[in-house]
Amino acid sequence: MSSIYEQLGGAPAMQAAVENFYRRVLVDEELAPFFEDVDMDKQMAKQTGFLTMVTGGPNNYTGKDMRTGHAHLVKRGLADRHVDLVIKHLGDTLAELGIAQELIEQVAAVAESVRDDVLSR
Amino acid sequence: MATLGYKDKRFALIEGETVLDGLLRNGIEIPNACRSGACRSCMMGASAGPVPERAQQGLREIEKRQGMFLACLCRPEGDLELRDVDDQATVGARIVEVAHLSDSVVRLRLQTEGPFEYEAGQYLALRREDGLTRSYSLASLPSEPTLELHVRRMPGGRMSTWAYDEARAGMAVSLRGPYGSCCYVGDSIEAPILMVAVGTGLAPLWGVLRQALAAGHTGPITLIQASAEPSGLYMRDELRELGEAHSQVRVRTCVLRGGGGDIEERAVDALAVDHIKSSGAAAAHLAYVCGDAAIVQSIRRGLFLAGMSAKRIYIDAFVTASLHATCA
Repeated sequence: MSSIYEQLGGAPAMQAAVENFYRRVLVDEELAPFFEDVDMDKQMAKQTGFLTMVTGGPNNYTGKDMRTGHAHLVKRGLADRHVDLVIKHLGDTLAELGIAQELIEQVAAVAESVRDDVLSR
Repeated sequence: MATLGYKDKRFALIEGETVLDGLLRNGIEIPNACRSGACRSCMMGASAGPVPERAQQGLREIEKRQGMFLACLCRPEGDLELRDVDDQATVGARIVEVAHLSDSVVRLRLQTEGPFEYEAGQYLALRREDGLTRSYSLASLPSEPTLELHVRRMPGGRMSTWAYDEARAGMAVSLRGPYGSCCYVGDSIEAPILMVAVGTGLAPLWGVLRQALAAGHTGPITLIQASAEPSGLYMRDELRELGEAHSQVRVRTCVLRGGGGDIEERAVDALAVDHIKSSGAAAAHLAYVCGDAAIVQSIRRGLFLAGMSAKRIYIDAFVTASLHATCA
């Protein structure tokens, strides 16, 4: 069975998916403060890695990356609530791109699996 | 297998290895993240050798032409000489004309001593004879006989004060470059274009705009020239004449303070975002945004949130000298 990553169209389709996702995150008033002063190119590069991972594409992210990459945000108040919102926006993006609900739940489960790393627990 | 050269190192790839894998295996750290051709972190250049087409997937046309590729996707078909994206050769040049365009902006025209290939909208590092080096955007077209730079005199700016007060025709300098990808790409000639020139951000756009017209762009082009105050505006006559000569070109001018007449008193980021929103065709637009880094990043974010694809927003963000190291 092909991965969701492949269903989306693989690496060439990731740009559009990341833009859709990033736009949702930036206009979310609860999440936006964590993205101020962040270089858009670097941010989108990281989100590309994240989307690639959770959709089952070539995975090069590790728990350690997620931990070190978010530690400074945890100090600024990053909490479960924000992870919930990110997973919701991720689901909305995939739904808009035509991915079936049951597959979106699989993606959400993968995203759940890094929650403790993201929140430094 | 293919042999790679990078700076002073040479090594052979092993079976099935990508350029990125090979570099990392040999202890050469280069930026990377997704390792699947999506994030662009590992972009490099090849100064010699065949670059596989697949390794250029998703890159801009200008980047492909400059031999850029993604190291994580690159399984070379022959030996490659690698370079960092910003690693370029130096060429000697002479100032051939100095013209003061306003009480703070000076135009330098330069003649190089050897070939210097570039695209309109790119920038170069200008090095004075004593080694002081600063980056400036090119306002000229590659078809023109000289290179043109616009330099704003900054308070305490060593290079810019020298350029405005002391630079004379005949002086020798050297150039390194070109850099940057804020260039016209003729792959959507009907697209509406928004250009935003903040201060001397007009320099690269003076090149890109004329390049677009020369290349036969058919879509409407709106150029917003912005400054804090009217005294910061320059080349207004030239812009007006260009607008009169080309019905598809519309020039708007805005300042934060002291507007009036055909100079709108508005924040440039709000004006740019409104322009895109009111067009009702955000996704179809191309945008070029040049000038002070903080304003450029703010406009870029605004245009992205208004519905433009980040890939269709070209920027040239100027960083003032106090913030970046000189190569002296």
